[in-house]
Amino acid sequence: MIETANLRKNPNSNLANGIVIKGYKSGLTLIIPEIGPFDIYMDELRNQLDKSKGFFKGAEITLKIGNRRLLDDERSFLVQLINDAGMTARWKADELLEPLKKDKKKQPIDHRNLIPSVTIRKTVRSGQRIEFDGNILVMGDVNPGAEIIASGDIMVLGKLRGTAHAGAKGDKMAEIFAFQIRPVQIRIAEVYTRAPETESEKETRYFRPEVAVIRDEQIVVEKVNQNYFNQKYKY
Amino acid sequence: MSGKVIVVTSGKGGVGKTTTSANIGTGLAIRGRKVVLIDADIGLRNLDVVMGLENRIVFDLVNVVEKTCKIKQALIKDKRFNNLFLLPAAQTREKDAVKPDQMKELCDELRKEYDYIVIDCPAGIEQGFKNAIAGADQAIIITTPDVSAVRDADRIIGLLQANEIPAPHLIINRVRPQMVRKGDMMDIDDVNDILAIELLGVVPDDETIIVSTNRGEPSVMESSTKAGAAFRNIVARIEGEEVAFMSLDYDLGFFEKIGRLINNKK
Repeated sequence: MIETANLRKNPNSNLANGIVIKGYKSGLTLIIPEIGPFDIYMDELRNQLDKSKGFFKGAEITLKIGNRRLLDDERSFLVQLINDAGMTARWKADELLEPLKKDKKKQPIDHRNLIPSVTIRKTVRSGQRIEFDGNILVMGDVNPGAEIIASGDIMVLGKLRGTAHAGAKGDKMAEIFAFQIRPVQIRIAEVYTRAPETESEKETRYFRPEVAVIRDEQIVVEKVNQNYFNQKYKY
Repeated sequence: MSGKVIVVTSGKGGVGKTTTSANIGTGLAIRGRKVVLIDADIGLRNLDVVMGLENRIVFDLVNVVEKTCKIKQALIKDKRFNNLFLLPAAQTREKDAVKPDQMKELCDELRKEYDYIVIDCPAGIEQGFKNAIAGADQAIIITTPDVSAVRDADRIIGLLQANEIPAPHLIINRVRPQMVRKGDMMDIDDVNDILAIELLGVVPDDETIIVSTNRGEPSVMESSTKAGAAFRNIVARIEGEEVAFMSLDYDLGFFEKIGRLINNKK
């Protein structure tokens, strides 16, 4: 309680703008900042509701929490608090789902930026095996009979014609990049696929960036066009 | 100047290591070099037969490394060239009768007196292979234009790299221009696409090889044959000469040649 008071007095604090209750035409809205400790905001909310002494009774209130991801406990605590004040809580439909969805997308990417990478400056030949807990960058070709196994992504600045296994510890977001993907076998997480039995002359001569990713539980090999990353990372 | 130790290897069996060794050795001897051929295929010796020297063997490689005879005693002088010698393998022993260190010592001993030491490596990647490459300065990889031989050659290149033998050279053996043209056989570009090492030569498939092998007369001696000419070019390249690659289109008909010209222009 004291903490909350202090925070309000301090205009420099990020938490200075605490919770906001606003009345719109559509009804009451409670805005909880995306960042900052949730329990402090809850204390603040309880204070305000106590002060209002039943002013909001019977009203319906829309909860806006932005991108904050609530634990089940936190969510029910918030709803309980509002119900105690005689109000009914309504989640902004898109916000209830969106934060969770965004999180799913974001989390693995952030996480991957931190994993180590190894660079192999040679052509990996038949019978050779490169295994690494992280990303693998091969500055050379990967020949038939060679194996590249990474817990993260695999990038081959050449032809990939051996066996490649990205996301070997189960990361389905892992990607395999190469200038030519014509592998014996390709695996991402637990999904694996073989190369098509027949391939045209044109395909064997193709030498431009390609990527293997999981789409709908299947590995697909696509050409990497100039908008590949724009489409992948929306901002 | 000390001699060069060249190992002829392939990984896969039956692609023509022994025939190539015999031809390279003989080819160098024709050019007046002092050459020793070493058969490192202990237990499965062939090089003596291909050279036609089988009946002259008294001592062998194992006797030499075990020091039961002198190197000079075991070396068999070729019947055609005074400057060509063969150190045969033991037929009744196994690969582990020789150790890499001993092989290295032997090569260092021989290189003092000879210009080239050509080692015929056994198939496989086990002890015999390790022995054969132990003393080598240079490697020649033999492959045929088929997927399995190329795969094995690739493996061997990796192993040579790991053993710090400088970049090997490649000979593609038994190429059939007819089949390549029809697209039924890998062509030189396909092989090169995977192995990506310097090409020393291409030997066309030639029936006369079988005849010369059975007679014990390396085909490099007959420069009129296609294979003989190819081996002469290879030997010249080993000696550092720049020789143009011979065309494999010699048996094209007139209309086929015209057709190819038109196709190339497209």
